[in-house]
Amino acid sequence: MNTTWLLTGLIALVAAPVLGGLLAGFDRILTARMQGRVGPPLFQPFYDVFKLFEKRGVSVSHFQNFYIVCFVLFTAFATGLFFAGQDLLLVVFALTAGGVFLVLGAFSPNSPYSTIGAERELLQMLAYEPMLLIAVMGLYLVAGTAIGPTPAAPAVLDTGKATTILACPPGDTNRLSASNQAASVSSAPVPASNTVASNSTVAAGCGATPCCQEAGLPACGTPASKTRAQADRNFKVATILHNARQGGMGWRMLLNLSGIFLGFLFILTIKLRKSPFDLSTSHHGHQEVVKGLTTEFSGKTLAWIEIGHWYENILLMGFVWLFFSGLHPAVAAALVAAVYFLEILVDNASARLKWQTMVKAAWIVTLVLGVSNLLFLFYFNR
Amino acid sequence: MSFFKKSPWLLHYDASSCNGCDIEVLACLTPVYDVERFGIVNTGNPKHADILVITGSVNEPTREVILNLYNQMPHPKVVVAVGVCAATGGIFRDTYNVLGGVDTVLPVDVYVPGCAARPEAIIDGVVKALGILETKAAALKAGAAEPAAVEGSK
Amino acid sequence: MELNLQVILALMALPMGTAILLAILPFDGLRRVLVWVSGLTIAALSIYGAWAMRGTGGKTTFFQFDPAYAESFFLWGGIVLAAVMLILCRRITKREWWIPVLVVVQEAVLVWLEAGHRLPAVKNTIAFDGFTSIMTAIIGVVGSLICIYALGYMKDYHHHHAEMKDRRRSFFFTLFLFLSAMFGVVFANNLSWMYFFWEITTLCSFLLIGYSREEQATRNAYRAMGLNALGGLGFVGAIAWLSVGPASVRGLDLMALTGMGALALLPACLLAFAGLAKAAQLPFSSWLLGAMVAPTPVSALLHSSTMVKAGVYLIVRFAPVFQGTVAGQALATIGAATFLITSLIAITQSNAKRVLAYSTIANLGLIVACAGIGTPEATWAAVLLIIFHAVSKGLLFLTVGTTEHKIGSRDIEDMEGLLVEKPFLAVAVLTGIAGMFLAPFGMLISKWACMKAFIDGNPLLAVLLAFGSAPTLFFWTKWMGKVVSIPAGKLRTDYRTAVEEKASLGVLAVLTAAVCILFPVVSWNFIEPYLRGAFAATGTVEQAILALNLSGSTLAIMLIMLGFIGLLPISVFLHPLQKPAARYLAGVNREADSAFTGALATQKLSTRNYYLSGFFSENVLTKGGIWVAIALLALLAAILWMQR
Repeated sequence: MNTTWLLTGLIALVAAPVLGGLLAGFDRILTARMQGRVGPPLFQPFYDVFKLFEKRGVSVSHFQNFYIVCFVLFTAFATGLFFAGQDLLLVVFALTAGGVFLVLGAFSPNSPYSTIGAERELLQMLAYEPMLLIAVMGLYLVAGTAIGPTPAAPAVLDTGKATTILACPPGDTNRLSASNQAASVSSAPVPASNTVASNSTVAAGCGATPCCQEAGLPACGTPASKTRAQADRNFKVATILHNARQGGMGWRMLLNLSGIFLGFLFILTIKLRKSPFDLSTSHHGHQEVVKGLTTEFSGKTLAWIEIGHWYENILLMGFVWLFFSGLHPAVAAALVAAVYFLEILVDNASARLKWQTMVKAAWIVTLVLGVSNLLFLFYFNR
Repeated sequence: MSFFKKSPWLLHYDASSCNGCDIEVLACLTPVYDVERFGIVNTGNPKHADILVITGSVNEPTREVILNLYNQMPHPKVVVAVGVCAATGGIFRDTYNVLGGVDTVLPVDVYVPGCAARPEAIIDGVVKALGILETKAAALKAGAAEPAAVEGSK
Repeated sequence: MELNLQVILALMALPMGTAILLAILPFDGLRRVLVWVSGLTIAALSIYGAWAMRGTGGKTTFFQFDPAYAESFFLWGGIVLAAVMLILCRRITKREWWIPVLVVVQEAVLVWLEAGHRLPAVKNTIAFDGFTSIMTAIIGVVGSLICIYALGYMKDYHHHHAEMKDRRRSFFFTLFLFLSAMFGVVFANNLSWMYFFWEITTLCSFLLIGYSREEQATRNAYRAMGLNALGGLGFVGAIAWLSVGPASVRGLDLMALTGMGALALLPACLLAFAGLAKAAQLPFSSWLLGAMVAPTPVSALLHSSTMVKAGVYLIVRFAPVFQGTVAGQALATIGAATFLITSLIAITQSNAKRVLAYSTIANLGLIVACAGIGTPEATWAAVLLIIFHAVSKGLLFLTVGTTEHKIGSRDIEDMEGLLVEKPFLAVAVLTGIAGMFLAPFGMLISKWACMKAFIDGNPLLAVLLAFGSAPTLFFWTKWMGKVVSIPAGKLRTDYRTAVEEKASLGVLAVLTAAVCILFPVVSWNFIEPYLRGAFAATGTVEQAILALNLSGSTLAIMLIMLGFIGLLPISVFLHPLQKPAARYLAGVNREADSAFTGALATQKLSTRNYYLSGFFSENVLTKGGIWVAIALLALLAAILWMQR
């Protein structure tokens, strides 16, 4: 992680709640306009949170607020990681951990409404988690291989004796290793009892290297660059952004990921707690579970939950950005805004569904759009 | 600076109202009055609420519920009695099962008259309550002790 | 004899000796002293051995330990073992006729091979590398902790089951005999030796599952024996193939075999078949669920931390052989499908031990999937999973055992409020569960590595993993939720937890946290050297280790998140305590918050978790899973047939 990325991450830690609050303000105004109302001021979410900080809190158990501290810490950390260009998979794991802590916080008071909220939040996680992971994998397949100048890893490592290791990108390894192994075994029988395959030069060659050329790797004939290609295949946000821009992926990236993108939009509704999937808690008037997840929280703790959600929403918008990251930043920003607008529209145009419908729909969408897209990327687009 | 004025969250409870005042309370949320302009939200949860809005007169079963809700609201908090029944018991005040207005069980901060109370009056009442809420918040901030929970003994 | 060999032999002899003494000594007090002393010695010795022979730089330490009596020992030992099993089979029902048949067939083949001197000689009978180190440490440390725990537990057990005959002498005898055999399984480099120890573990498992002698326990014990014997058929088949099969692959040297590449694919698959049965993968999974009738230390030791690990140990050993083969992919798919299906079933279970059993099967499935992929990255993930799972699951089983004795139920719903009633047990449960799935703990890093290995190798596995992770999250979190929720109404009274139980639980909880912090050390000193040795022939190991990027930011991120968890207790002090308030119950709270009066009547307050049993059916999923797994096994056989 270089200084620029570190700085971006730190800035995001400070800026995300501000932007998240503004986003929530826009959301409320837009929602009001869609309902033929004027709506609150833009800064209303901030007023709410500041007021909550001024209020005294009450709690059923002394423990319930500590989980919320963890929820906010993990969610903020995930956001910071994301904008610091770090590993996307770890970001998702940290976000999930945050979610788990929020649920534990809701379980803690053992109140019927917050327990139902907690169970429903878990159902929401059950519904969206597969698609979230598949989205990460899709981005990895499309743009996870680092290109351009990055510090090279040592290509040849001596493990005591003269052992030269030549490498090839993983795709090749998988396709060719069976034949390689057969070849190497037949040419040189493996010593029955041994330490390292000492003194024997093992060359798991690449054979043909079409995939290197496809990926546009510079000087892909040399072992060093191949090694780098494998070592630099990663889930990092920085890598994805770098590839998308420098690799000139443009609309191609969105096109290749179209199924995964649509699937992600579907679960984004769950993740943003928008109708028809705002089962666990909601800002709106449905009240069959009172406030669900947040029923037993008040004062400062409730304010922190709100701030945690702001972090989460900004992180999710950043995630959406990744799909557009091959485009001009202005276009990408406009598209992200359009996605959020779409979510608000869906929110206002639909009624809450049952959890059964949510889980089924989300998993079917994930299977049909996400998985097929992933298989396509793996088998036809490498 | 206090933010109570900018973000009053309501809890609305129907103590035994004929639903006339309730409909007017809900009318405040509709596009015609749109109280969300002032940051007013109907929370439906005492733990999130700042203002307890009660419609209808108090009877024996709802007395306990009102106390329960009020005591679950975190400080500072105010009570608004909406409609003549909530204020005094209204035309039901002499019936065998009615205790009277909300002030027979709780300290009421604002009375909104009317049968049913008009939305404009309700909004006015809430705005008036906000002033009291701010005063209470300031007192708490200055170090005043939290008022004790209201006990249910008659 | 050199020191290291002495350590190895001591590790096998010490539990054996303890077992015999425990069988002879009739006194409770003596048994306690003996188990404590022997347990601690075994733990210390295993740590020493694991460190001394960790195989720096990929070196495997071989021992040519082949005393003259070995041949006749294993021949007669095998015959005696089979005879004991046949005698034990006297209580089978009509439908279980196939169990003794399997036992006889296996032993007949083996005797034919051994007595006819058809088994190829193995020079290096004992091998020790980084992976062996890890297994040794797990068996030694977790195993002895569980044995010590069993002292306190079994006393309570017989206190609770007064009608049952106290057969603790045979119980501890079997437990230590098992430890000895388990060490044998991981030390043996001669496959025929390993098979002998393998069968002893099956026998121990049978005896311990049937400990209570109740009808159900007996049936389940036979089921475990039968399915493991079925798997054993694969083992014997592999030994036979390697003895009298084609000359190019003749030889029972395990290490040599794993370095052979695709040539060893057929015996590797046969052994994997045995491994799948031992690790209770679909279609064999039912025996492990039945095994949950055994006393809890047995479930912890045999059925989660060690014995079932022998199955995946064998499969992971062959990872370099499976790498890049279609057969390996099929095997990996069995593992990944098992992971998904059993994770889904676990949602529907409220019996804590069954949840743990299903989750054990699921995690072993993940390990099998990694081994089937067989790349160095995947193998790295597999070994880490073995470590994290052994420690966390051991802890969880033991805690559930103690909790069951304290609250009289192993139902998760009854664990409500454990955090305030029995904070020590609650923290142990929470640590164990967090170790199983929550982000900053160990599983995070293995899941991360799995995901990377799967998406690089086979996207179908990655998809199965993605779908399987979600239910894992669901059933663990709701369990945690029950433990942390504050009970409505009166707290239950407590009574003393035995010192043995407390000590074991405490150490295991600390270990769970420690392996998370120290896993890089484990990786550098044990796993990476092992990978260097195992994958020397394929030549991709160095980049794999680089790709895991352990020195870099991944590690830092992990540690920061662990730091958050460490901060949690501090936040208790920073966060001002709020005024206590009653729950919101949409009515009038009654009876100190444990009931409420609503519009209709006064009702008791009770909350229950969702089990979604109308949504996911255990029966349907199990049946479907078994057929999917059988189809995949058939596919595997077909692939091997075509490539023969």
